Amino acid sequence: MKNNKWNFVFIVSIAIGGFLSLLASSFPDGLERVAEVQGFLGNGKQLVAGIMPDYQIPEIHAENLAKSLAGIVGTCIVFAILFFAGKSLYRLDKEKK
Amino acid sequence: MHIPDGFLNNGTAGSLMATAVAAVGFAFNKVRSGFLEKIPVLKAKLATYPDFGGSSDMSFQNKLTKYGKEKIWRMATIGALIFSSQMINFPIGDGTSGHLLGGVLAALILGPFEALLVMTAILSVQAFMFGDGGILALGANIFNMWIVGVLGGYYYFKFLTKSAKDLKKVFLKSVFVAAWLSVVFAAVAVSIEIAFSGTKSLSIVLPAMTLTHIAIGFMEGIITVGVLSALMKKNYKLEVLDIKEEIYEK
Repeated sequence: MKNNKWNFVFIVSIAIGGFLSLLASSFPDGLERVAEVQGFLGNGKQLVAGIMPDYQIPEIHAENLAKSLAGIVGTCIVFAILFFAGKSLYRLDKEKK
Repeated sequence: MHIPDGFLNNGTAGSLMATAVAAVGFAFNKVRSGFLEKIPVLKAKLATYPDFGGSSDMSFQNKLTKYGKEKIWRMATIGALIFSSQMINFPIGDGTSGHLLGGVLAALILGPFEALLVMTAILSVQAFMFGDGGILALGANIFNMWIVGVLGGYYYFKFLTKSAKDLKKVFLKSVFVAAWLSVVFAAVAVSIEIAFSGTKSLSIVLPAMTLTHIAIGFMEGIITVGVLSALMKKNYKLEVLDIKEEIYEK
C-alpha cells in the first residue's frame, strides 16, 4: 500500500493517541457523572482491568509517558486487529478451496 | 458512554450480547461478500473430442478485489482514528466530560456495516485491554453505540438527504444532525437498559442522561463535520458520497 492517502489518517491518529490525549479532561464522562450523582456508580464492578487500566501503562511511572505510550499502543492494536481480520477473510477462503 | 459491568443485570446484558453477536455476524458476511469477487475456474480434465457441452466442470474461486484491499486498509485507519479520538475527553461544564463515539463518522466514511465491525473492534480492545466498559456489558455497548446510535443516525441522515436536490448544500448540516442524534439515541438506550435492569428508575436516569448527552452530542456533531469536511477537501473517498471511479475497476 504505497502512497495511500489513508496512511496520513493513520499517522494523525497515532499523534492524537500519543500526544493530544494528554490534554484530555479528567472529569467523569456523561454516564459516569449521572451514575455518581444518582448514586449508582458503586454498582459498577471491574471484571477485567486489562493490561493498561485507565489508558496508562502501569509499569511506567512517568504519568505522561505512560498515557501517551498507552495511546499509541492502543491505536496500533486496533489498526492491526482490523487489518489482519480483514486479510484473514480472504485467506480463510483460499484455504477452503 | 461505556457501560461498566454491574449497571445492567445479567438478563439484559445477555440478551443484548446475543443481539450484538447476531448483528456482527450478519455484518461480517455482508462486508465480506462485498470484498470478494467470484471468478469461474475451469477444472482441468481430459479433453474430449468432440466436446459434448454440458459437462463443463466449473468451480468458483473467490478473489479479493482491489476495492476490498483498499477498504480493509481504510477500515483499519479509520478504526485507529476513532479509537484515539475516543481518548480525548472534552469538558462540557458541570464537572462532566464527554468523548467522541465516532459511529456516524465511521458509517459515513465506510458504510454502516463496516462501521459495526470497526466499532466492535474498538469496543473490545477498550474492554479487554484498557478496562473501559464492561465485559458482560460489551454486547450492550455495541448495541447502544451501533444498532441504536449509528443505524438511527445513519438512516436519519439518509432520510434527510434523500429528497435533497443539492446534496452538497445539505450534506454537512445533515451530518451534524445525524451525529448529534446518534449520541442522544444511544444515551436514551442506555437509560432504558439501566432502568430495565432495576438499577435506577427511568424517570430519574432518562432526563439526566438525555440532558447531558444533548450537550456531548453537539461536540460529536462538530467533530464529525470537521473530520468529514477535511477529508472531502482532500478528495478522500467517502462511502456515503458514492464516489465510484476506480473502485469498481478490479
